[in-house]
Amino acid sequence: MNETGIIELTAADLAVACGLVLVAGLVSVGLKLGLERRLALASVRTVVQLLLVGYVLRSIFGLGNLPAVLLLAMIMIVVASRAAIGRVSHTFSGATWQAFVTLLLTGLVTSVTVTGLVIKVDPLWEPRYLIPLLGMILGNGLTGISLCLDTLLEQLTERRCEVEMELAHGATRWEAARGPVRKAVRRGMIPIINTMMVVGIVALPGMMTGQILAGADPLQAVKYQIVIMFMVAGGTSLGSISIALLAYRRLFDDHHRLRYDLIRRR
Amino acid sequence: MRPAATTSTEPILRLHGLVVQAGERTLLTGFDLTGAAGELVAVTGPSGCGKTALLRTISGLQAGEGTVTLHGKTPQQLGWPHFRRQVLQVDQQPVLLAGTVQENLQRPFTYGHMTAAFDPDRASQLLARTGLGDVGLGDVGRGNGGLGNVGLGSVGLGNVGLGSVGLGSDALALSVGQQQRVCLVRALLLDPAILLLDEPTAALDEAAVAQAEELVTDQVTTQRAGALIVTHNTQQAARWCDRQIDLTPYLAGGMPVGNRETTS
Repeated sequence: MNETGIIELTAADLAVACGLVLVAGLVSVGLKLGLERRLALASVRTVVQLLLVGYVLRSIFGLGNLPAVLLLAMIMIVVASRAAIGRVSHTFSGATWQAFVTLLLTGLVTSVTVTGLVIKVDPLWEPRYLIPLLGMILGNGLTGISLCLDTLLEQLTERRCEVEMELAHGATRWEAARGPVRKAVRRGMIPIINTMMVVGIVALPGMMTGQILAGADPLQAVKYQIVIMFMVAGGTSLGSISIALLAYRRLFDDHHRLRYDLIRRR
Repeated sequence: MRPAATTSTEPILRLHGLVVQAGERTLLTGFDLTGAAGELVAVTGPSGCGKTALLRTISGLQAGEGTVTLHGKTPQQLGWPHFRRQVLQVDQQPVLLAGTVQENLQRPFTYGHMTAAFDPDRASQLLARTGLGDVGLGDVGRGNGGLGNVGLGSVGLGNVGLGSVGLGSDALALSVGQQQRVCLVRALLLDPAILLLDEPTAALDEAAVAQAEELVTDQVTTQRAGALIVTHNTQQAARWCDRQIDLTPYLAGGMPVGNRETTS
């Protein structure tokens, strides 16, 4: 144990933890699940990806310069927006771009609000705070926007006749779209609300667990966790609303017409 | 054919050089039409030739080329929602929302630009005139008397012991034929200048067809409106409408001919 109260892990310690994965491997072999290769690959990827991230973070934290932080943030946002669109069953051209804009705005607005106004770090792009916070927002935000977009496109496809019937009877594009848009935003926000309902009861959040393991006072860890939950809830809601409105603007043109031809199934 | 419209033929709707598409494919080209007040125009043509797409292009629900004007004004000048309420398209497949018949009929009156108010008495009257007030009259399709889901093809099954349909009925529980009539009433309540009707009586039996025809004719006459009616039934077109337009000459790739309209 060092003077900060953190028990440092050695490579040998990680090797012991690896033994736990071997149990999973044995189950797979024993039950002929055929998952050994995938499990081995997943384990290797876990180690390599996380070590890589560790080194990248350490060097960026060490560098402490704004362009490096921004570059890393951009890469995270691009990857997150691609992942968000990769999960939806319908899409349209420009969807990835819209997801990128959404995650860029909500990610930066909410994370900088927290670093600047809540934790009050100086500078507010201090990577030790900004990067993990942004990661949390993006991770949850991408789930929110992909659920939201998936629901919106599914609604517009399934309820196309209803939407066009309303347009035909003189509804504006917003009057015709608001039902599906509302349903989509709701769907995007439900997971985070459910999480907030049971947080701490069913499971301890990963961030809090990590802080406690790293030697922090549980009450301090809880305060941080509350900030994180609110930040994620805010970010996910903003993200869902933004993507729904952006997609709505794209899929309903100035002629108050549903551009069903732009929606592609995959 | 009904007595020729004893009207001064003031034009309401003008279509000029309309090009109708389905996706990338062009279905109809160079379509011109002038729709006058009090006039019922039938649109006929081989199936798949673009009759429905024509109506959708006129109401602007799908993109096309050419000009459409209502009383000399383009949809852009009037505003699309306002234009569409005036040039009102009713789909062949009835589209109703979950809720009561009244909620469905009322729905268009909730749109922001609507100034008129929903009149439940008039709604009930119109429903009754389509035969929906009467017990089981003129119904085709899903009865509640054990005939279940007999579909559109079963024209003439009529009286299967349906209860009367009123404003409080559950809209989605109605048969296709009943829904089609509710949709017609919903459109008529808005007093459009031009009705674009797509096979409006396809799911109705003879008695109900006559009632629906009469209702539309009455509305067109009393409101000085016009109607463009897509039908595959040339007998109906001849009986009900003032003139017929066959879309065959306008088929993309088809030969343009001199006189494209057969007037009464």
